[in-house]
Amino acid sequence: MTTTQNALILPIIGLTDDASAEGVAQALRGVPGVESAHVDLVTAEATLAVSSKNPPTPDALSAAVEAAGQSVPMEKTSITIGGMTCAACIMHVEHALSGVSGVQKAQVNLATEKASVEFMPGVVSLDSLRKAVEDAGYIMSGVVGDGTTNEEEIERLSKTHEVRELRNKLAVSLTLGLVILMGTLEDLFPWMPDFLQNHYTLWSLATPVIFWTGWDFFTSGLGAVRHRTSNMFTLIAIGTGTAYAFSAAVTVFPGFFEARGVESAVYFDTAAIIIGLILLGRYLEAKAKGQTSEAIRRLMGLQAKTARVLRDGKEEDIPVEQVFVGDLIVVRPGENIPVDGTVIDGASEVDESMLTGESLPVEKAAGAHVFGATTNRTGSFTFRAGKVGTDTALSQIIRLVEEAQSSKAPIQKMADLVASYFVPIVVGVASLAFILWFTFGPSPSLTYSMLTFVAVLIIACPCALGLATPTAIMVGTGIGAANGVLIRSAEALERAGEIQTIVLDKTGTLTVGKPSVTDIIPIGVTEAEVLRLAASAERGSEHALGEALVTAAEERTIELEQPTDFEAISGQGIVAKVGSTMIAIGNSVMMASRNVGLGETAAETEALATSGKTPVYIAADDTLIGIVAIADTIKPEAAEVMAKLRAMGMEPVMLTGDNRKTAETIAKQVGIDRIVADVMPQDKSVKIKELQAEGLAVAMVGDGINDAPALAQADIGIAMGTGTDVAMESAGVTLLRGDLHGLLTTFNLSRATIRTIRQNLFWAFFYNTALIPIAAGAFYPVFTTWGNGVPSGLEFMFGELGFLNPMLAAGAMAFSSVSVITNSLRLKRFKPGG
Amino acid sequence: MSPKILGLFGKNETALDPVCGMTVGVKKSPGGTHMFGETVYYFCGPGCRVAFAKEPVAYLSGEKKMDM
Repeated sequence: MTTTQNALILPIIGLTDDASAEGVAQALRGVPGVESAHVDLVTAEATLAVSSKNPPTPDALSAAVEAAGQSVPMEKTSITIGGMTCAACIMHVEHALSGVSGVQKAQVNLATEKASVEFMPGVVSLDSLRKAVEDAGYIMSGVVGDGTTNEEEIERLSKTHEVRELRNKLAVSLTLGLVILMGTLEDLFPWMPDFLQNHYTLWSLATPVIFWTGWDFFTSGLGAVRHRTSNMFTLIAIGTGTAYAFSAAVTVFPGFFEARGVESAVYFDTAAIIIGLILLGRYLEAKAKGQTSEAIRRLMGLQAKTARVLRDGKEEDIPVEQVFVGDLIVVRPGENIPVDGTVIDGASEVDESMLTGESLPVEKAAGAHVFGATTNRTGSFTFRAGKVGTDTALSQIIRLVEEAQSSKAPIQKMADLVASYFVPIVVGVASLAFILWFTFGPSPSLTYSMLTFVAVLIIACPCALGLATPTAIMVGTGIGAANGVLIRSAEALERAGEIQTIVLDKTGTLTVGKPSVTDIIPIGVTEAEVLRLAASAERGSEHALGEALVTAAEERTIELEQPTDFEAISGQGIVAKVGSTMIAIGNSVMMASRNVGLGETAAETEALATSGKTPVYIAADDTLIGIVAIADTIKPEAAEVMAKLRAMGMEPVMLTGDNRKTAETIAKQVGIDRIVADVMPQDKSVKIKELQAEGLAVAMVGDGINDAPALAQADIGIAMGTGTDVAMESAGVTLLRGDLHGLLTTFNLSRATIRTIRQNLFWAFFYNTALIPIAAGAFYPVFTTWGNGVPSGLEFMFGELGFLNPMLAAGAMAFSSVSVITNSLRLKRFKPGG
Repeated sequence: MSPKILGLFGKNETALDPVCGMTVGVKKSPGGTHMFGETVYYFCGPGCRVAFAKEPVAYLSGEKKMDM
């Protein structure tokens, strides 16, 4: 099913140049059963014509490729197996699967009913696996899905459950808290019915708030104490616990407190409202998390449910979970593409905006990669499934975003560390206040000391501290995603702000990574005629060079003819008939073999070669009619972005495997001074290390698989491109659009986020710390002992005696939480690249 | 109830799956049956039956013993 009757496509890794590609092709031709073999350097694939009678064994093919010094990558997939009843079944299924030609390894897990299969792509089809499993007496229900169509998964991601539970708790705690509040403050709410002012009623109302809605805070806080540390929940637990226990004691033994001359006051309202406010913060946080997942949720909705697979020449609709690597899938206009893959036939425009943010549809022809969940627009095409299940770009993106949201930034760790010191200090201050008031305070000293103790614990509760980092990170990563910048971890977001040197890979990062026609030198005919003949001849070609010619012709709206007798000659070029003219396009070797005289062109081709361009000769009926120069073009925004990076205090460095001369030409154009040229792919990470040894914080920007080690080595790796590459796995940041402006977005966003976190931490500490002395009753002596009582204008804050009203303390805390959240939401106004 | 107790009622005879060694009810053999020689064999699942059908002698002689 993977290919047509006797054609076979094998991916090859390790190809570096034409010679290595030819080496592999030759090795494959030597395998019995292989009739012809062609290796394309650009797509890194070997196309084989094999005998349908005695096809070559996969092992022989992979051995041949390995003998040529390259390798065939193995794909891994997970399939579900039904009908396994006993331990022996594991072996039956494993035997059956390993017996399939092309399967390297099969491992069965009885408990999960899944088999993990390692196989050679292009050779093994889902059907052959299914047949093997069914012949052994079991059922194969398909490839283990990535859950993108799974409602539960969507719900889990959008945190619906968490949000709902928090919302319920929040509603209960705030409602009861308000009722308790109004019942407690008899003077303000005299119209409240008597039974609601009864202390026993208030107690019974406060109990579910503490023991149900706030229970998590107690378990978490006490858990920390058990580990001899403390967190913000420790403080909440102590504060509200004290208020609750004290009030309960007052309710049961009012006489004890009244006997000392103070009216018995209960603080059930304080306990309930504090828990309500903290729940509010947590609810907002959970909701924000859910909202950041909204984009993902929408993406998931776009995932096609079925795929139209070509089997035995017939189109067949199957559930997307059953699509297997190597299946041929037909996509009609307007349909969503079910999985990732490579177009093999037909052409169309695909709307990839949901994946890359790029609003213009992207043209897709044979050889182009297409991605699941994107929408096909105009044409229809057939593509070969390359990645399914959890391997698709969509699934990877979802995983990356999830990881980023759950990771802790170092600055968050700092916040926790500070909190762990803050808590014992606060408890110490509260205890000190208690002792001082008890010893030196006016009568009734126990009530005063209890009041100050409770007030200090409550005011110091750093609940806004807990919100400071996560809210900023969440808004920051969310904004990044909306602008085509995927930030994988909170750490990456933070580190990006400290980068001094930014190393950029040349091909595919600074340049488009796709050759285009730069010069046309006609000989004896017009420029348009050269292009018309050359592009027409290359029309059927899948080679990058051919594409460049066709694109150049289309740009000049030159009408092309359909070539006949197209023939690709490996390592040389192509020959095809356009009309009645025989066109040959290729290198000097080809021209020599066809006895085409190159005339006086040596100087010109030499000049082209030194400026980093590849000259291609074009001959009509074995007469040279022109030379076309092909080169990778620099991204239009490159120079502007480099200048801006410099203005932000970062030095761009170009890293390339090209020779210094070519590198310098490009570096000059984009405005880079420092060049590291002639670098072998495997040495890229070494070069990063060298820069780091200079004491620089280095960012690496790259796109290819060979950049992966360097991306991982750098302080922060930034992967370019469509986000399907291995590079993405090793990078902390992925620029979905492949647009260098994303770099500016990344660094600006990082700086803005870190700034916001610092502001948040300041506000969280500022409010709490500033109010501690007031809560401890330090103003009592100021107003009452030495002064003439609290001035009437300040009574709202200090009451009659110079204490902080516990109720106002709770309000102030709410204010600090709200200001932290608001400050984080201010990040939403962030302008990318600004 | 264990197969032994059920056996007391004389209704539910059991047999051993020759492949995996599990005890299987005879009346509703979950993996179906396979006749080899004069004997009917019962299986825990179709997988074991298929495996047995391929190489009955190997399983009966104990040559093919599953390491479990």
